[in-house]
Amino acid sequence: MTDTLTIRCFGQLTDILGSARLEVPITSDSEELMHLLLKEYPLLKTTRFIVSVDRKVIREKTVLTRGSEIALLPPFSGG
Amino acid sequence: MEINSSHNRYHRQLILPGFGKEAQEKLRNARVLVVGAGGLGCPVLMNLTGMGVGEIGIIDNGIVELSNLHRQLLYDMNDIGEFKTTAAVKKLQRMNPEIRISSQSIMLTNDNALKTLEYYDLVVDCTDNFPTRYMLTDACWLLKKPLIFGAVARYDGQVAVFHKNITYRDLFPEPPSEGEVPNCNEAGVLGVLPNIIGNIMAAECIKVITGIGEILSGKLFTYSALTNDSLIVEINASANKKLQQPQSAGEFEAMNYPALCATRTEIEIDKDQFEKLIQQKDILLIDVREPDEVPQLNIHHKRIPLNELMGMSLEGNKTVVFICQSGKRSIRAVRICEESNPALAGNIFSLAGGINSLHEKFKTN
Repeated sequence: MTDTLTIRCFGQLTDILGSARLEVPITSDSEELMHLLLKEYPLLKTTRFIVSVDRKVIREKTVLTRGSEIALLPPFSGG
Repeated sequence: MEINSSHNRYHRQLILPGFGKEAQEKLRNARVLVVGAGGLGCPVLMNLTGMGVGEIGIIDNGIVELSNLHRQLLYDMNDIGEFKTTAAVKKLQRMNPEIRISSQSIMLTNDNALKTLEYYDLVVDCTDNFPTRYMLTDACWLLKKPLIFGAVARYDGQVAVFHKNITYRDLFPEPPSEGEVPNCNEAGVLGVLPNIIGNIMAAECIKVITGIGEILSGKLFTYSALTNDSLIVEINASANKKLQQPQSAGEFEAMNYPALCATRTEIEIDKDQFEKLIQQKDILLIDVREPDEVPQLNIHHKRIPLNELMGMSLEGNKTVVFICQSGKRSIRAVRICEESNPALAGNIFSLAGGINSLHEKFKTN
């Protein structure tokens, strides 16, 4: 197993991250990960999304380990 | 006679282990309100009607348009120009005359929502805008009615069931402002997508009514038609929610939902202000549409697509005006630009309504 995290994203976030799945170097927690993503993909600052780790929506700093499942989920308005 | 015809009509689900007569009876006694009869509303309504939900209410104030027909499969060419509610009731009632269907061609607002929702056991959110979605989730929480939520964008969609104290505000406590999240008119939607999502919503609806299976209670299902990737995440109560959510009928009725999602008006200019502004010196006009979008502007401007704008320095300009097709991307452009050019804040504008709102003399095809 390599020292990377896989991030899945949906909706307009795939434009910003360039793909629906992304591998990034492992970070110790979710705050560090967000810092890294915002640096790499500054357009993320202009859009709204929530983060899930291991299929739970997180709002606070969460410890990440190898194999943590991360997703970035934007709100959709269309009907 | 009627019993026999009902038996025949629902035979294939009556013989299902775990469904049967008892579940069918629960459907017959259920009252469901479907808010929005568009991309999501059509499949939800067709399924609830086919399966025999006893009483269905439909709310939509829209009219059937040609651009609806690629995804709103309840309507056909003969319905263009008709109220969606009128066309929907006619078709659905023909599909199943054994159920009651009523409709209202109105806009559901916080003035009429509590009274309208009261009668129903369950509400289905098939709307297409954030002000109505936040209003509905607040209303259902106050009335303790289960809400089936669904939403789509381009190739992706979401479904959730909100009851037992979890609402949409636990996902996104505050509404995004206009332009922050593109809608179907602006971003497009693959025809089949709302049908997939609407069918899942209908299945959740049937399961809530009959009690079979597992529902997406307090869970958000997200699906991508492009990759077949899907994900179910658990939503937990957000501490922020209480601050934003009206706690009583009085507070609810006093809310201004459209304003919650409104754009900061100070960054938007209208076409008259625009015409005056472009006559000034030291003004930079930037079209943020993709290079192949028409019509072209025939006034002095730069063309920088939105995704190339991040981090770009525009210092040295006195006033910057962004323009796009309809005035949504240009609002995002203002936000992006304010961030990288703090000295320009207050002097960056977006043309409300975009090129669509401008006089023909400013355009060439």
